Amino acid sequence: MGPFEYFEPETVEEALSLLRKYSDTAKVCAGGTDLVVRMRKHLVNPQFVIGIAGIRELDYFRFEDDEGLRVGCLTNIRTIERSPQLQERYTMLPQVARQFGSIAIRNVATIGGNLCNALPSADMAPMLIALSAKAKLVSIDGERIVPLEDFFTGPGKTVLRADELLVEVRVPTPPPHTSGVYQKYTTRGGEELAVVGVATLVTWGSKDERCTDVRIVLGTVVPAPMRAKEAEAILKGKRIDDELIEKAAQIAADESRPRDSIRGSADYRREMVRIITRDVLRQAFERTQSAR
Amino acid sequence: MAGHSVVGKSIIRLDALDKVTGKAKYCEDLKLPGMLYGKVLRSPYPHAHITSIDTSRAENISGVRAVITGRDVPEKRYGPSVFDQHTLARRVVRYVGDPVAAVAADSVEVAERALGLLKVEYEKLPAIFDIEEAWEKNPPVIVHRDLPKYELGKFPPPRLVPDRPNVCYLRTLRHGDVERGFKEADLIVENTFSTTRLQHCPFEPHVSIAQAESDGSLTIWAGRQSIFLARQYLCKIFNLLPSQVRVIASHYVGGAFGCKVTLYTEPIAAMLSMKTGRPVKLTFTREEMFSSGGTRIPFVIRIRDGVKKNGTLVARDMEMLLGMGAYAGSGPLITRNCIYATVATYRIPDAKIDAYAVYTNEPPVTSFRGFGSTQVLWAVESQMDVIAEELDMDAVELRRRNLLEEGDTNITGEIVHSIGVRECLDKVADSLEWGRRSKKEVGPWKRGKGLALGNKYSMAPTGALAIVKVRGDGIIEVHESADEIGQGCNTVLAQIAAEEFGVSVDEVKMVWGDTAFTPYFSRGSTSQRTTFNVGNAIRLACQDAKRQIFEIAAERLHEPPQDMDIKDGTIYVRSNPSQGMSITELFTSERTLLPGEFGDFVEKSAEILGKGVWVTRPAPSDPETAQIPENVARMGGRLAGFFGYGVQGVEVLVNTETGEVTIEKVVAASDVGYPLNPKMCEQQIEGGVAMGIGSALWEEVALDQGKVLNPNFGNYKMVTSMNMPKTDNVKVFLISAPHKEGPYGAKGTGETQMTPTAPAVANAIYNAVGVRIKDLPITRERVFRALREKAGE
Amino acid sequence: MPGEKGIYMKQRLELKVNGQTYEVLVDPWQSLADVLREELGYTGVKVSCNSGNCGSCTVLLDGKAVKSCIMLAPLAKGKEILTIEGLATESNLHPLQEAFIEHFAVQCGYCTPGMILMAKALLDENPNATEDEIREGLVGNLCRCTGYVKIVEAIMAAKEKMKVTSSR
Repeated sequence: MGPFEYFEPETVEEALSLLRKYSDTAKVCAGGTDLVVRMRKHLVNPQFVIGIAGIRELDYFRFEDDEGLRVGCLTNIRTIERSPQLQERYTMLPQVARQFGSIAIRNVATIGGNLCNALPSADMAPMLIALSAKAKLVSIDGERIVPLEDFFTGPGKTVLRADELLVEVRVPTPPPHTSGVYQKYTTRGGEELAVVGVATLVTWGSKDERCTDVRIVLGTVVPAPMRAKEAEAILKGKRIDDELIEKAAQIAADESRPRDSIRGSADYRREMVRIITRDVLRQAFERTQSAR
Repeated sequence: MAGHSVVGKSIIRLDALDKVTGKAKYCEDLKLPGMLYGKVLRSPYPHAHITSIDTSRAENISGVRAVITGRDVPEKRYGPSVFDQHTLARRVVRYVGDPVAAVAADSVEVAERALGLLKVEYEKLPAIFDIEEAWEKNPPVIVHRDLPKYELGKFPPPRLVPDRPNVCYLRTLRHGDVERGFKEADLIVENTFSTTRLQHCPFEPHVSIAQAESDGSLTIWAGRQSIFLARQYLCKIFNLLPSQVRVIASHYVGGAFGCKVTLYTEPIAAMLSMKTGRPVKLTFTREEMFSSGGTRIPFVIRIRDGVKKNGTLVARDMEMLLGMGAYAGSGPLITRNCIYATVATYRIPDAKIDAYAVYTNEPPVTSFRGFGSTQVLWAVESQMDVIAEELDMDAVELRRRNLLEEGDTNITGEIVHSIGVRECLDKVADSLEWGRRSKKEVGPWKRGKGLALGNKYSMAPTGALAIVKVRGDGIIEVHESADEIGQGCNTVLAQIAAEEFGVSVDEVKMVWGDTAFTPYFSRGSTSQRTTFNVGNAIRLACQDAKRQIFEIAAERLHEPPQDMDIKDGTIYVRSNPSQGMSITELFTSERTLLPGEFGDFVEKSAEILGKGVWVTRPAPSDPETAQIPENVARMGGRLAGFFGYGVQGVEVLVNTETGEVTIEKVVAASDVGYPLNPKMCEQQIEGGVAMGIGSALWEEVALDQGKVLNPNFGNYKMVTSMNMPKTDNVKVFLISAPHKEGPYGAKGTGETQMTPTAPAVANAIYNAVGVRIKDLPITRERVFRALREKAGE
Repeated sequence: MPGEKGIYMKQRLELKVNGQTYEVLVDPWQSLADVLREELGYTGVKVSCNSGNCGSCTVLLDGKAVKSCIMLAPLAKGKEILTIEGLATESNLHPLQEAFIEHFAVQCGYCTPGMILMAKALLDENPNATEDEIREGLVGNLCRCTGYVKIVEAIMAAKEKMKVTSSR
């Protein structure tokens, strides 16, 4: 690994000026659980590494009444998993976090790092997209807010510019009678990357038993996490039964674009998208109904 | 067994304290003054000519102390059986990962950077990956064109097949007349099974430190098995005498499972040290472990069995192709020995086996826990269930009808001794509630049970020596050369010495692992041979030491030595136990003879040195038929040291929608001869089961055009804590069919327990959902596809 | 590839390991595991996969388990690092160490330090962890020798001992 020069900015401003200066010769390192592995394999060979772990102001989450949850990019996955407040108000996020790596990884890996590395198998992304989360990106020139749905552009690729830092994730408060479920499917069971990852978020109307809104977001089986909009469309506004769920799952599978890999052939993975989508939809519907 | 005070008890492992406190030292932890770090440049192509190597830029980096290429290595090839390998490729590379050049530098980082500046030009050659294609008479690619001219070793005796140019060894067995057998059969069942490459994944990777000494000799510290085998190979490579090569592994070794019997780092580190005069450490990265650190042999096995309606096996014909990869390594020996798995368990009147060792341009293979038996039993024990199904017979019953018994003659003509397989089978069937179907099935999850029989021989010839030193402090110091690779051999060996002297293991000190100081052990801790061979050598050495002690005591006590015995450090007269003396009293203080502070010594011999030699000899057998002559067999001539037997039963859940398989329960019964340390037997068994489950369901070194696609623990999937059944659902039974030559009847057990797992899992899956998977591993996708195919029928 | 100044400067780093404070000069690309092993001699920290998958290199930072092979050393600044060498007191082994010995949870020993420290983090956080919770908690700590059976048994036994000790 290396060689590279290492910087430890203590403020966001310092980090931004380093980013402006070194641009794409630099890599930002938060927890490093992805980056260190990739540098060791020489998949990336930055000349400069900007270690932001010391910028304590970026390690937080808080609730703002008008805009919901705000999570600083340095918040680690274990914090999300263990927070009683998140457990109460955003149950689906701890549920995702628990499926992420192992405890020792979750203790270090950050939400910002997971999103910016943009692996198709990144576990946090699908649910955050389902929740209509946005990312706050800042540079010396200012800031911009980008919906996470538009953030990812391909495997390892995002709209983040070389001089920008993702500093915060904003997650709107889910409407009442909403529940979300994420499930990853792997080849063994254990600490491993997803072969298929599906997040769903379901909202029921307050009066009748129709589903007023639904999100189905696919991970891993697409170059970048993606909403299965056609599948969503056939559920939205409908009374939901098992037949409809089966149908939506099939459509989601058709919308996925898995590739052949050592983790499974495209055909198999597509079929697993169907099964996992069906299972998460069932679970989400059951949860919302039992909560009503 | 009655009357034993130390053996047969679960004595706490001697290494456990150091290992839980972080004090245990491994080769990877060692540092020598002035030590350099080595790195190896490897071929990116599966088959190519090296047209040029430019080392100048790498040599000019600050901190680089030596660069070597194929030009620097001895012209003579080496290898365990076929001498087909150079330390660094000289003209041709034959697999992705073949070593091409090496660097020694002040740090790993500098060495790595230097590798990036080596410029190698290749001319690509066509490559061959398919074992069956490579085996053909006119293969499109010949991996070693000069094979007929290569020097061949003596073990196993060479046997090339002139019209199959990629075959470097052929093993054949002929027993009875197989065609006659098939004529008598009511049913003939034929199937083809295959196994894949596994990596051993020892947690400490291959590592050694080499120091070229100024007198031309060589000292190597290595994290390995078989220090004497390493010495032998290094002598061959560097044209040195055994006394000029010292191999040290007196530290702990972080797992081995077979792969550390081969030379990987040592010759390269040695050459770098010769060039620099400084100690050089070479550690494989995890990626190198997968590409170049040895894998288990992939097999293609065609098996054809003839049976009677009543289930009696009458004929078996097997043809096996073993993929060596680019260099044969221990592959020919595995090809020779793998047939024993078929020999060990069942009566078969007429049998024929052909096993071919075949070169391809894939990474070279090496020994792996089971040494070929595991792969053969994957086919045999799957096939037994297929036969049972076709005969509509219970799978346990079919096996019971065909089991060999003590005193039977097996298909090599050997007379069977120490066979506890029937008792193992009964135990497993009983514990698994065989024949009773569990009901608990939810949704797409179906439940099934399966079992399989396993066995593993221990290779002969084996020679083991032990020296026992007794000194004035009363401590029994045992010198031997078993490898402490995690199996805990020192604990069991110390128990044996303690038993012989009637003391506790606290009074025993183990000294091991240095060819210059500890006595010979031919192939080291491989082939589950340590307890049996070194254990016996230690018993003999203890007896020799005791004989000397009794002779000295006899003079003092004025009693005949044959009346003496020893217990708790006290020598006593059997006929008058109150008369005795301590070991310490045998020794005279030098102070009584000379002024000044000296140690204690026995006037006659200064220290008491007992020596024990144990040799396990194989019976001679016919090179074409593998048959042991009848008169030799009658005299007790044996194929191998012993056979260990193990039976496993598993209960699985199979998801019919996804193909997912979970192991709900494992029952393992193992015939260990006599459990010298029951808990440590359990350790080996549980570990074997876990590795077996991994090999059954997930483990595979995936290759594309010879390149490893998953060279890391993220994508090579071994068993995790989540994949094992709950602790209550892992049941282990120790069975004792004592071996007449084993120490206290004991046999080895390190390998046996990996041999039945995979077929037991496959049989359970069939029982659950009715699909028969014939290729390992049984991935979720394979099960899924088989279920689809079945539904489409 | 030169850095900005044409050379790479080693960085001065203060680390607190097992209660001792060290000042070390490190290359910025050195992992915490590398610094602990190679610079400070804590070779009880084992590196096996070197990619964050096996957990042999697990150490505790302020009581939290981390995989030190994939952590750049500066991230441990200002934290209390506990390695296996610091777990036992002068006179007593930790109950987990005792249990690993007594329950035969040790074979080659390479995963053992990381396994014990991970188990400590688990039990410190959840003193009543069930077998399932322990097995789930160990999923990032691989072992090639044991099949985990005796490891899980040892941790379950240590759990009981630790409860007794802490209630005293």
